[in-house]
Amino acid sequence: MNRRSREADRGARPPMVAAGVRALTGSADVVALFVMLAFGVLYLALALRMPFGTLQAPATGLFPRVIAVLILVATGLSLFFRLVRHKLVSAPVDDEDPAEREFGEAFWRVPALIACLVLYVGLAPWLGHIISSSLVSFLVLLMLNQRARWQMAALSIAFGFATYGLFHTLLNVPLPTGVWRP
Amino acid sequence: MNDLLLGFQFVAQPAALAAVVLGVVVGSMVGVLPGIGPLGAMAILLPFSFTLDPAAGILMLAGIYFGAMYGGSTSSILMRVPGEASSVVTSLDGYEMTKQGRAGAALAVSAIGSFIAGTLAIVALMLVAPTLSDFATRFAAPEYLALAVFALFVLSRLTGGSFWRAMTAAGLGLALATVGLDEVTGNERFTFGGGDLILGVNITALAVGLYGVAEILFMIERRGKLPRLAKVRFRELYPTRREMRRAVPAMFRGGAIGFLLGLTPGPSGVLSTYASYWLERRISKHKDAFGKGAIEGVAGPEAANNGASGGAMIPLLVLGIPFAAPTALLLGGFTVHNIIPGPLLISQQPTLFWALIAGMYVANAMLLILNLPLVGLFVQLLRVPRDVLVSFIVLIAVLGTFATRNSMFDVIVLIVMGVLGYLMAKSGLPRATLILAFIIGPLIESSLTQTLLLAGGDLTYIFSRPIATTFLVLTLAALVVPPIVKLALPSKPPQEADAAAGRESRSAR
Repeated sequence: MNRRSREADRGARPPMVAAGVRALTGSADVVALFVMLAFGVLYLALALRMPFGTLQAPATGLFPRVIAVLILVATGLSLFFRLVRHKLVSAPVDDEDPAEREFGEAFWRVPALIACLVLYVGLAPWLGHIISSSLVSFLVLLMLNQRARWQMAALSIAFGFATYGLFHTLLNVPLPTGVWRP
Repeated sequence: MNDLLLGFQFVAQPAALAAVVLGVVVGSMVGVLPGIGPLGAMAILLPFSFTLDPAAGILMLAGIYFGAMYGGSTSSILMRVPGEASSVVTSLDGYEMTKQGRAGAALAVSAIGSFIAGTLAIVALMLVAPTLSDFATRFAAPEYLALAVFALFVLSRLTGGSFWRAMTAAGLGLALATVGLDEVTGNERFTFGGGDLILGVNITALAVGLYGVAEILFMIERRGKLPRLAKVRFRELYPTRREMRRAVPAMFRGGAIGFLLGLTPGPSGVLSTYASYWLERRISKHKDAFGKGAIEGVAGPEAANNGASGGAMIPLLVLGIPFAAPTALLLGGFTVHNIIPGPLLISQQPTLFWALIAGMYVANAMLLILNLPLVGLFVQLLRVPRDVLVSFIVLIAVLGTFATRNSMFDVIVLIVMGVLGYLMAKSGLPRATLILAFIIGPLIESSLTQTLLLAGGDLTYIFSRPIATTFLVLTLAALVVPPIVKLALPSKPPQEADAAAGRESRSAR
């Protein structure tokens, strides 16, 4: 069995995983709203520490307080309609793809890609752009697992040099050189 | 006319022309890529325009804007994979035409329709802008406050999901805009002791993260393969005379609908495509052909989409207020180039304004001249393996963001915004409202502060200003009328409602 058919075979989720994903998809909006509520409270607490001034002479803290109230009211009403009135958001948001609401079967790749990006941020100042980006590209290709390792390595190195050429040479962007300073 | 000719003279310079052409081609190429879409394309390509001088930079931005908007329709027609919501309607009949071996004709009609509508929209912009701009010079802080509130509330109402969730997203966008230095007093806010947060949240990092990185995350969490690609030969690009006879009137109708809707806040691109499709189906003598490859079903919506793109430039350029996510991104780009659109742009920087108008004409013409012969190249782009695409685009997104301020902190913000954009889509919070609120947040705050200062703390002062009051009344109407209408209309029985929803979602697929 080759790599591609192994990938295809992994397309169907085990029942427990499928149930977990369904639960996650169904509750994501509620979790997000509670997080926003907590954010609103925190934002208000920080805004209250800023001077409000007066309505005749507003100071730094006026607008943040208005925003905090907006967030708390909007989030509170959203939670009310969602939990108490059980009104699910069934209509898709117009510029969004409805399919994006559901968590995909390879959801683990999302935190993996984020970790790769964080790795770049951590490594680039030390190892420079070419090595860091090549390493990160390799990890991304490895994660997506659609070709042989040697192809991944070759592509990664090519991307590292290509992006260096594009940004540093062509566009004069000073990319991190790390320890490889001349 | 003289000003327009001077604008064309400016655009005819090699550097300026190259910027427009490059913007159109690259915008189309990235907009074509399924999973990225026009908004993702604009976000990812924004940083490249910053490497040019301001005039060339905004011409490139205009090229990217039109190119990316057009590019989304190519994958829609060839693979039934719309780049964004405004290309969904095109896929209904466009893909059917592809199955009948008429992909070239569909692409050609899409390009011609986009060109006609775009040109008409730019002519209208040229005619309307100076008068509207004179009118807008009467705007002071209260009028800008009312207009910005109108834009934000009406967009939140029209996003299609829950209004209160949209306002939650708007609140988050406004909150992000307050990080850094207060523009009015110069004091620090939410900087937690200084450091990189003093500079505030970078618009590029926010936009590229929210749309670019988030779209990549959506792409990688699914294992599915892209559908098979139709072959398109250059010689098959020409529609027949019969097809053009049916398509051309639809193009003009769609362009007009799109332009008018583009003047209003909200997802005008999406709304205009649905409105145009509905109209064409109503008046067509070939009603049965719709959904099976009716050329009006491609020509009308595509023209409407481009007409809306042109119409949306009017509030952006003349009032300085974006009414939708794409123009919010454009305004972010203008701001980085230190160009502030608004009523004073025409009077204080006429060369720049007319150069931009001329650049839009050229970009529109380039869409037609270049994109038809290059359709073979675009088709090849659609064959790029997904893993190569993801890996390369991620690097481009990171470096493009880094390049704006040479700051690794911006890359951190990019990552955070990417995660935020991903989670927002999962939880039904609209990203468009967040980005619009982020962009116009500083305007709302400065207008609110100045209004309070003018009014001596009495906010009812705003009602003594007729223009501001009009905007506030329109805002109230937009908020209150739809729920009242919904309550007043008889509700469908559940089975009927479900069947209707099922028919709608099948036809949207």
